[in-house]
Amino acid sequence: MNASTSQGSPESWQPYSWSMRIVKLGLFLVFAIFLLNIGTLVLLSLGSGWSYPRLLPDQVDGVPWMNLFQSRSGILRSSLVSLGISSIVASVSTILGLWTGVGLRRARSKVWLYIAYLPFVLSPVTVGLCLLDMSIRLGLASTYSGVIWAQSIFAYGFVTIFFCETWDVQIDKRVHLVRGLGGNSIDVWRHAILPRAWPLIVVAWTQAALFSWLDYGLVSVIGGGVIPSLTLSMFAYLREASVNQAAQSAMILFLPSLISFVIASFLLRSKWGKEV
Amino acid sequence: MMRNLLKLLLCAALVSLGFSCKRPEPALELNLDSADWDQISTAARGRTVRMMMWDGDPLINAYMRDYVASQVKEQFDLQLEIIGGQGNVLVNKFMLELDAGRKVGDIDLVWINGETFYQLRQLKALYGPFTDKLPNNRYIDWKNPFIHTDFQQPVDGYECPWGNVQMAMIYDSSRVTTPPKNKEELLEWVKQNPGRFTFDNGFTGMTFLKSLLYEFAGGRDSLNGPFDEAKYQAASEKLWAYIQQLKPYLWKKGETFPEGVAQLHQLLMNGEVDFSMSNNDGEVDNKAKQGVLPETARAYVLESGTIRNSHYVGIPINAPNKEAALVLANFLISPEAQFKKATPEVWGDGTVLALDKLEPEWKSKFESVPGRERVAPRPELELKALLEPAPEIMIRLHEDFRKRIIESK
Amino acid sequence: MFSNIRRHITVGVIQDSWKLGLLGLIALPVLWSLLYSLAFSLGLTGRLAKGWTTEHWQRALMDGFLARTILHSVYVAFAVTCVVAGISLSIAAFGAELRRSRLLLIMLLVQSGTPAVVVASQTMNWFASGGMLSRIAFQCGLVQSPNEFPAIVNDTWSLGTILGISVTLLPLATLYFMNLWEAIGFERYCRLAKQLGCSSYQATLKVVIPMMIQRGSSMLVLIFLLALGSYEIPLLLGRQSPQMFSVALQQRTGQFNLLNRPQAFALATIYFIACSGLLLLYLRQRRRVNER
Repeated sequence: MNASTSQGSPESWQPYSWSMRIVKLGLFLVFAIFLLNIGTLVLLSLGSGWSYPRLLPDQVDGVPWMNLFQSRSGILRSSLVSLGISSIVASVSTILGLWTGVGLRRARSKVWLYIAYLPFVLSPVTVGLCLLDMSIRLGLASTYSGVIWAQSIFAYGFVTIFFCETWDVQIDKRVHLVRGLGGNSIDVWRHAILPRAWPLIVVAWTQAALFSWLDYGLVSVIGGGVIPSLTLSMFAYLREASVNQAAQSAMILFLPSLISFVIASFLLRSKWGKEV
Repeated sequence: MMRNLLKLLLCAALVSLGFSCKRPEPALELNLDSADWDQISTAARGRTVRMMMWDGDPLINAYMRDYVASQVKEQFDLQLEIIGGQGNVLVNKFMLELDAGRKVGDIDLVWINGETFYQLRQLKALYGPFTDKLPNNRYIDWKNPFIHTDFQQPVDGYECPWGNVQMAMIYDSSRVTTPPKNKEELLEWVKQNPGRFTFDNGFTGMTFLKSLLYEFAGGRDSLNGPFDEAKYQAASEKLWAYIQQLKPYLWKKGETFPEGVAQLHQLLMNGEVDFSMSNNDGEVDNKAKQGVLPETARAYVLESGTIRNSHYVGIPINAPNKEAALVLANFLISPEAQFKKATPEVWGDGTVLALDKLEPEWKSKFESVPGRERVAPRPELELKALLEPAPEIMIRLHEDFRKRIIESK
Repeated sequence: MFSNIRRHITVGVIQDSWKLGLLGLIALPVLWSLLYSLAFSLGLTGRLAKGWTTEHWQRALMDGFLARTILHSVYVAFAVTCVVAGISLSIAAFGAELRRSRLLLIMLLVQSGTPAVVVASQTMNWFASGGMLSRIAFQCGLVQSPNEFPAIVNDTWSLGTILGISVTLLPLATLYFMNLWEAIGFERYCRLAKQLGCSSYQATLKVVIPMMIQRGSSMLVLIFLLALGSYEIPLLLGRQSPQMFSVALQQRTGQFNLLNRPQAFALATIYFIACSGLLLLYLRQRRRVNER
């Protein structure tokens, strides 16, 4: 039985009513700002120029989008490459990270947890240049495998920490139950771990995919600019071009995330909205 | 459902292991030292040539991806791929590749100049000399000191000139009726209009400082030749004293500077400042058309002169397709490609060709390039052109600007 | 007997195979990076290396910018961690309905899918002197020019940088704490505290939040490290002095003088040693607290 239901339904716990009103109001305000933000991006991307003190672009003519489609800049190809790489990185790191996270919880020595944190204490210059040296010597530089390998180092570390630290104790109880009933390791994974852990798996996979999708540093350095990821196509515009093209690039980068996250939110909502 | 999800994840993992490496194949060995142009262009046919260049300007990208790529495909059966990268990214990449012993790289042609050329020569990372092999080399204005010398270093055939530009000040003519013409007038103007002027912390800003440094060193030609520590010290002390006078009246009181010229253009567009600048004198026209700069933007150069320089293309020593790189470089310096990029609506980049060496038809085309509306004609600006000083000056200016201006209280 | 031993060994290898993953995929590249960085900074490798020298380390350590940069980076990372912790814990602990809100979930997921450089440019578009807020203020007659608008980006206190990095990391922390709440089942502790006489306020603030901070401290450490290593946002929204360490380091690897590269590697090595040392101390401290 879920712990939170032993004392009544989760809905029955509310700290105090005024906090809920403030929080709800805050949520709607944040949502309004969120929509305004997206709205500003859309408007800026549709126009040319944005001289002060206008709230809208100087000319709303869709020129950046027309230029994009006319210029044959390979956005579709870059998107598919990024999608493929991020799917693979997310899958590899989620599988390995889940396996490692479970193992890490049993481990006596915490040096293994320390190792999982290490990628995040590397400075960007070390990551870029030193990993490039290693990738050249391994024959992975400027290859898809090299980019996947480099991104997986970080994604795997993150997923490992995530599973290790957010583990649901109910899963451990189920593991004991399954073992007690004579289940082997496969049964443990199949009947105890995976059914309960799948929301964690979805979150971990999504975060790992995101990291890969949005990565610019590793794909530009390890990939040598040869791997045509979406971030390579768009990042130069974000820093160097007009505010309109920067807005267009921003939308191209996070629009697919928006769609996939709406879908993922339904999956997660079903876990948090009802008892399993 | 969980079983299917697990199967999917496992399949994805297996696919990743089987992913094939994508690596350019090394070209067939053609002895480039003895091969003639017919052999080179024949060997290049059907190849993919990768060019690494700065890709932050959509007009330049369009010129390369739409015009150059289609022309080299049609004329030479070359597939052009553009890779974004410049400056220190390029240098770090080749530095590490050569250190790790990577004999066959993945980039065939690079867009470089100045300090990047200097650093790549230090690393012995460039193939050459090669410009003599290019048939269109005969049109290049090699007598022009702004072309045969790059940051006071002879090019020596290790890079091929591609374009020529001069640093210009840009201002909003709707707010500034009489822009300052020299450093004294600039100081006066900045004091009368506090917070309305600044320069960036990047390449363009340093080029602006170099232009002023010439003034403090004694004028035009005063910084020509190899780096002179004593001359630099004497001139830079005066430069920093001048900038310290400007500093309290600069945008944000000089406590911070825009990181690059793109940010500076945005400040001008927003009306936060009245001046911007660019290394390309023709940029004001194409940026105004793009809506990056206001319609009322105009460009000019200081009476004391501004830096003029050329930009080049080079071939890395470990380029896998040197023949294809040579064919592409040759096309980039052809009269038709040079003329195409000279028009402001395409790029507005100056040509490196000597007009008197061209056919009369091309000569008259170059002399009447349309669309240059917001800045004086190039021959007028060239009268106030200063040579790029030695690369050590750029290195020192960058370091000293940080220590003497940014970090000073 | 031998088949039993073989079975035990096989089971043991499979059960410990996760260690191979950590060693091969993380420890080995990290060790390589550290050794390469050290070798480069000591003149032992690199195209322009001249052999063993400590000159680069001396110059890197004696450069006055190091102390200022480190202090500034720690300040920004600490501020970001406090902001992110405050908001994410509040959402997780105070918002029973928020935890089930699809709207919040979508916003968090979308925001987490926004690259740092987009967040930086959006922060500029909204909060810069010529940004949207300034334009609204102008239209309302509150300012007469963009220069009158208060400095939120490129400012002395790095407010824009802190805001940008916080926005980037907030979804990660919020999703984590929301999930933690569900996994641990903190409601029972709240009810228990109330049954023992606490008010709702005391139960939440003095029981639940400290427990969540303790359980979620590893995420807060991660947030701190990610903020410390942030590059794009401080580059666009911060000042040149003081800079965050990652920006200063990256700029030194991009400087025109190739001979300064080893200094950058020396600084990178210092950064790694300092951060990994702090991490080790934290993990040890946490283990002691858990054992108590």
